[in-house]
Amino acid sequence: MIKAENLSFSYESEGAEVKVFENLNIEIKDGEFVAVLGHNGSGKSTFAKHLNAILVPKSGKVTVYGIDTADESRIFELRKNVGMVFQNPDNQIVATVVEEDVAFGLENLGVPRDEMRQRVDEALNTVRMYGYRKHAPHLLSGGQKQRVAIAGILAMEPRCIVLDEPTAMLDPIGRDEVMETIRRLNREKGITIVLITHYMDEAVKADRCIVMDRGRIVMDDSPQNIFPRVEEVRALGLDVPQATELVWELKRRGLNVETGALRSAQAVEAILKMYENERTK
Amino acid sequence: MLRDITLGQYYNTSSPLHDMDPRTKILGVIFYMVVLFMASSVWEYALAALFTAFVIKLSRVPISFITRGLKPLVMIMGFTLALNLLMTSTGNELFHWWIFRVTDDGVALAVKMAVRLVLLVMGTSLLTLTTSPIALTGGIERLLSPLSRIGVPSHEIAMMMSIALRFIPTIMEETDKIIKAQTSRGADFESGNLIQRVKAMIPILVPLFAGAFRRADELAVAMECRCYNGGAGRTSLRELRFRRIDAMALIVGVVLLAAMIGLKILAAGGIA
Ligand SMILES: Nc1ncnc2c1ncn2[C@@H]1O[C@H](COP(=O)(O)OP(=O)(O)OP(=O)(O)O)[C@@H](O)[C@H]1O
Ligand SMILES: [Mg+2]
Repeated sequence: MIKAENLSFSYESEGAEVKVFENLNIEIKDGEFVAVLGHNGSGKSTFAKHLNAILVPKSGKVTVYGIDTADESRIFELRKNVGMVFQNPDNQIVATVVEEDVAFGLENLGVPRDEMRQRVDEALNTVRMYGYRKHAPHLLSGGQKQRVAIAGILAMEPRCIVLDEPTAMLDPIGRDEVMETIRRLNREKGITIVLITHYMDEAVKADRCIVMDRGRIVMDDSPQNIFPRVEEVRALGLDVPQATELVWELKRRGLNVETGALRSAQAVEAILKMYENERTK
Repeated sequence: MLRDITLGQYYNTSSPLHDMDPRTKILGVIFYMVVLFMASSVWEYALAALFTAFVIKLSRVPISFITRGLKPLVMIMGFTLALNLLMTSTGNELFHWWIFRVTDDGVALAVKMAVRLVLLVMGTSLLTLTTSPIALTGGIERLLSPLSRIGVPSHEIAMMMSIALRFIPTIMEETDKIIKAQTSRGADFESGNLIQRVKAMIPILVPLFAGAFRRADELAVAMECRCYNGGAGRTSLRELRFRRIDAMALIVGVVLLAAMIGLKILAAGGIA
């Protein structure tokens, strides 16, 4: 369980104070797949950095699996449990050989060599990069690099992985690879996923979407309940999935179509159903 | 052009050289440099060149990969060649032009210096070509560890080096991209006098440094997220083990040094 209670935080930059959060409250349950959305500067990354004590609250409290993030003495236990994947894969890969990069976290934790070997291989298998274990990371594709970064986190056996726009620098293929991996970790290993993204097609794959606006949580619901509110979502500076937009536009133009589709298949279904209804009328 | 720099790049294959303990290779390179700087006669150079060729063959790194690393050094080499050719005044004059006198001693010295430089770069780049930076780091750390008792930050030094090596290809790629971007905006790096050319570098260096600082910042956070906390209590995936091949390599090194000294004594005997 991850819990932020009355979290307040501000950056100090050049003497001025940039307030980001004021009394923010969030609870994320074990095994959840949460997408965090919001326009640029709404505080998503700042929130993410509070989950593994890269930043600590100015006031209020963040507890992660019973560990208070302000407790310096348990910081490694905390970071072992909450892994973090960032946007630019190049800037988070430390080693020049894939398997050695995956081992980096375990080396820091002082895991014995035999166990390390086993956990590194397992993590590489999970993200389907085992065949590349001896490769140089800078020669891999963006999606592959990002999966290596995920493996590096996975090897530490975290209970939660926080991903801050992991697909922003990837092509569509890389994006699919990473999303598929994330979903599998959530479904098969029960790892809690916090995914920050600007892609609504990724957000619809989550169980729950948290929408932030200027440091406040303005929506917190399932994607099925959030995206059909197209106008509200747009007012927050966000897109809606294409499928949702399509049926919403049709409805707005006076067609009697069911709104609420999130994926293209659902949009197709809704449109077919509309014709069906027209015919039987 | 920038991709040609192979210095600091790891060439992934398996060979006796790749299998060696990084400590052996580091000591070997130090040894090799000593031998090269001792060399003076043609025979000694021939021996060193032969040895270098042997080690390159042993490494299974394609020769084209190693010679590519020499290209960026052409300038320096040209400079040393010219300097040695023109500044040596001993020996018999070969020809004379304006204030310059080219002598046979000068030619010999210039050629030797060039050979020495080439061998030096080829031999030392083999260290990074056959040793992954993490292994290299491990080796340096272990070799320096006796010194950490007197306050030498051996782990930190090793870490810094390995990160520098890790980011060389990335930064090279970025430099290439910036050069192309600036060229497409009409920047000219090829013409003009020295001052103009240096000035033309500024639009490359500024974004390059800005980018490097951003990278460093992000990397530091990413390392912290993965529980990095300096060298204390760290274990390593890569095992450092002194094996038969390492013993053999060291013996070969000693033999080489002995041969070098032998040649020197022979040469001295020849003079006497
Ligand atoms: N290091 C910093 N120093 C000062 N202000 C900062 C710093 N980092 C972020 N901010 C400010 O804090 C606010 C929240 O930034 P944050 O990076 O959390 O937003 P974000 O939602 O992740 O945005 P994006 O979608 O662009 O990644 C912004 O107004 C930003 O300008
Ligand atoms: Mg962000």
